[in-house]
Amino acid sequence: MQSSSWGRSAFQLFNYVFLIAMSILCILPLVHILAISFSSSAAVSAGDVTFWPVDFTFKSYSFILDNPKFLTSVGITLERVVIGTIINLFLAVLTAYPLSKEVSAFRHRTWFAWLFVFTILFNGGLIPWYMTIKMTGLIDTIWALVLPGAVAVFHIILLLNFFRALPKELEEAAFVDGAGHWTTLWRIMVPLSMPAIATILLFTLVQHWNSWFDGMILMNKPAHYPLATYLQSIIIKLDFENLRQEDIYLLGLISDRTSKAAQIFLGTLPILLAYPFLQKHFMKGIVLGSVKG
Amino acid sequence: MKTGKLTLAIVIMLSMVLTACGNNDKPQEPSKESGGNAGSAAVSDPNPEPFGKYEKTVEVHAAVASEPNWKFPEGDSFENNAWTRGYEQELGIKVVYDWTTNEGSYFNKMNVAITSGDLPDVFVVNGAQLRLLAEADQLADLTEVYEKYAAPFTKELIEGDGGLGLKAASHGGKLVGLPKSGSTIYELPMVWLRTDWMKKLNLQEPKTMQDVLAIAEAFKNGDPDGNGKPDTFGLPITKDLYGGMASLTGFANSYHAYPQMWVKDKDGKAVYGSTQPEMKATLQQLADMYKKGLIDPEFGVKDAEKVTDDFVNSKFGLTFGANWNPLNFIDLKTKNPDSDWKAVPIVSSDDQTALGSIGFPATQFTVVRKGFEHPEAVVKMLNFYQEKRYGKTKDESVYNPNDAKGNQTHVYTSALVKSDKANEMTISDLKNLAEAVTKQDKSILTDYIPEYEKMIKFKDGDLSGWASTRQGGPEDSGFSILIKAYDSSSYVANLFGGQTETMSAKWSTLDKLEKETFTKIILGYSDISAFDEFVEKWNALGGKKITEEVNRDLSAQQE
Repeated sequence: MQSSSWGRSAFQLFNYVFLIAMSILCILPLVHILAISFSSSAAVSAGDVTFWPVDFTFKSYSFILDNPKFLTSVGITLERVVIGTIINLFLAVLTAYPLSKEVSAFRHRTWFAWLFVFTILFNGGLIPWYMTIKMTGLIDTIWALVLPGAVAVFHIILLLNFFRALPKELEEAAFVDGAGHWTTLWRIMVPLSMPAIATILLFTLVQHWNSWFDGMILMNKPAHYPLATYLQSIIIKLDFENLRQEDIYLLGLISDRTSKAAQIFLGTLPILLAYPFLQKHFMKGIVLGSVKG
Repeated sequence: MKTGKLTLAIVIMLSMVLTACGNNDKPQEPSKESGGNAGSAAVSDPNPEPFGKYEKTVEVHAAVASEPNWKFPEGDSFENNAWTRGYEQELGIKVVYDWTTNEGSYFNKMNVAITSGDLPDVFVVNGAQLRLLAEADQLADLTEVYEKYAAPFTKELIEGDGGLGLKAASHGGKLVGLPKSGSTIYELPMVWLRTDWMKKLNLQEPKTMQDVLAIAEAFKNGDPDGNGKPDTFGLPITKDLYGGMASLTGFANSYHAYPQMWVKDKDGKAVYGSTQPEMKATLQQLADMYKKGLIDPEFGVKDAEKVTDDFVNSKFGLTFGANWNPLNFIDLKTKNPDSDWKAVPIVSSDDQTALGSIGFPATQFTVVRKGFEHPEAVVKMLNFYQEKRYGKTKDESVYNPNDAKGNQTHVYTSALVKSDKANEMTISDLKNLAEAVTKQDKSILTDYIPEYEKMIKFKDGDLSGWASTRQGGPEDSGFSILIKAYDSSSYVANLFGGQTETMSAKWSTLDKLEKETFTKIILGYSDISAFDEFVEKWNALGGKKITEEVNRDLSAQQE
């Protein structure tokens, strides 16, 4: 008895130490960035800053708040996240519902399901992607960031599996009471699937917040860049080879690290805040007790 | 009357062509070309105006790189500034930027645009893209419009490199782009020494490479920062090995090795400098230095930015780098006002003079889409740029203005078609700068006004002008070394700046192989004999073929 409880507490101890160490590993880089953003730039390039600010200053933050480009890009990202997430979720629910039906109810279900899966496995590549967006006239508009990824097949699969796991009796009960597909979907299925929808919501949110490549390729003016693209373009790695007299201005960009750190931190903040609120949905029990007897 | 004049012109042109042909054994390439082309040009339009304004405004769709943190005067932007207004008001050209992005992403995005056939009218490409587009016949032939519309001053600037830039911008005998030339002498490597450490350890200015090595050793072992800890190193290197900061280039030059560039061997053939025996001697020396602990063992993971931090932390007092290195030492000066640096020329390991290596004049080109109706607009914009930036009517307050706080803005980098001064002119500007600073007379200046003002500030005791003074002051500065090296021709220029067909496929592999092998040799993971294996591998993996192609292209340009 004693040895097993000793083993258990050893395991628990190890577990805690391990998990705490892992979380510290994840948090420290962010703390470092935060410390840099509150330090003077001389202290930063001297490497004096680790996890606590040196020569505490708000200079970087006041500089950013005066910087219209940062604020515009935040605005564009917010627009993109809101529009993109709504469209994504709406389309995912609408697509997942029929695909979750049995073949007896929806005869070509398998064929359609494979049609969607096909797009995960194969895609046209960069150039056709670009040309499609170009020729549909979306280039340089907010819709170029939102529409190309609007049907997220992975999310659809998640959701359709969740729909299938719901007790069939619920649906049958709804039909008996005279509900059509539309009512069943929105009044029964969707409210019951909140945990899955929250998961998808979080995925979509993070994905829209973080993606920078499409912004770079599809937006023609830096003024139309979403936040991630804007950050990517200022946090460039300098190529010191072949630096010419005309490129000397690039050198000025290096000692700019404190303001970069501040912008990175502000850029991560909203998504950090969103996480804990959505997290709890993952854990929630799913359909406990909905059908009795 | 008019026909008479025309006939006369043709006769004169023809006679010029004939004279040029008669002198064919002499390399009289430019005059022969200009004779021939001006002849055909004169037939179609006897009176082209380099600065002529279009009666009806011409709209030019363009793409060029710009950085998001460029600053402009109040109300201006990259799309609307002194240049775009100047183009429109004085030339009747309305520039519409189809797209722009930062330099780091620009050529990737250009690749997408090229592959999807979505080209603007005027845009900037690199050597590989120029070759690709020219082979696919997507570019307008600028030979004639350049001859006709380029102002004499433009030609002087563009051809100031001996016509190398124009050759690189030509394909199959046609000029398909305007080179974005620059002063390559600016890349010349030099030795930077921390003078407060030199004084402390009683060291003399180096005369030979042996002196340099002795200084490196003294900086490692003599505790130059006086903190009682052996935390300094002799020689900084970055993980990229080459470049303008903590570079091996200047070190190798001291051993007459010219890594990363094409040089002539003793038979007059072009060879790649990194594979020559002199490079082996250089690496042997570096490996010995590493064994003695003179080189930071972590150099393999440090980029230029990290190494800059080490300078600020007083880890190094000796480095091979470009003239602008002091600009990266500003934080050191702020943190430690006693620290100071000076530049000395690279020194030789034997009795022959050491020559610093410099690059090829043009690596980027402004091109025009084939089928665009006004290819001459691009030449006019180039005329305009060079006239307003460097010519008689230059006006810094308009085309290189400061913002309300007195800081330089980025208007000067925002012109669509740019090409800057070649070495000759830059050196004369630098001489004028030095004289102006010595005499405190601004009227002598021909350029470098912001640098001048900072240096005058430093003379009055303002530390913010320190870096500019070390870079550009009359003595012991980066610029003073450039002037000396140029006047005594102590430099070797890269022979070849274009792309060959095998290069596009193989170059990145070869470059990686080179840097990996050299890093391993320096770190002692590989014996020096690994160099010979590297040369063999390099040749086998495409280097041999590339060398042949480079020689073929070079001899084609000679004809």
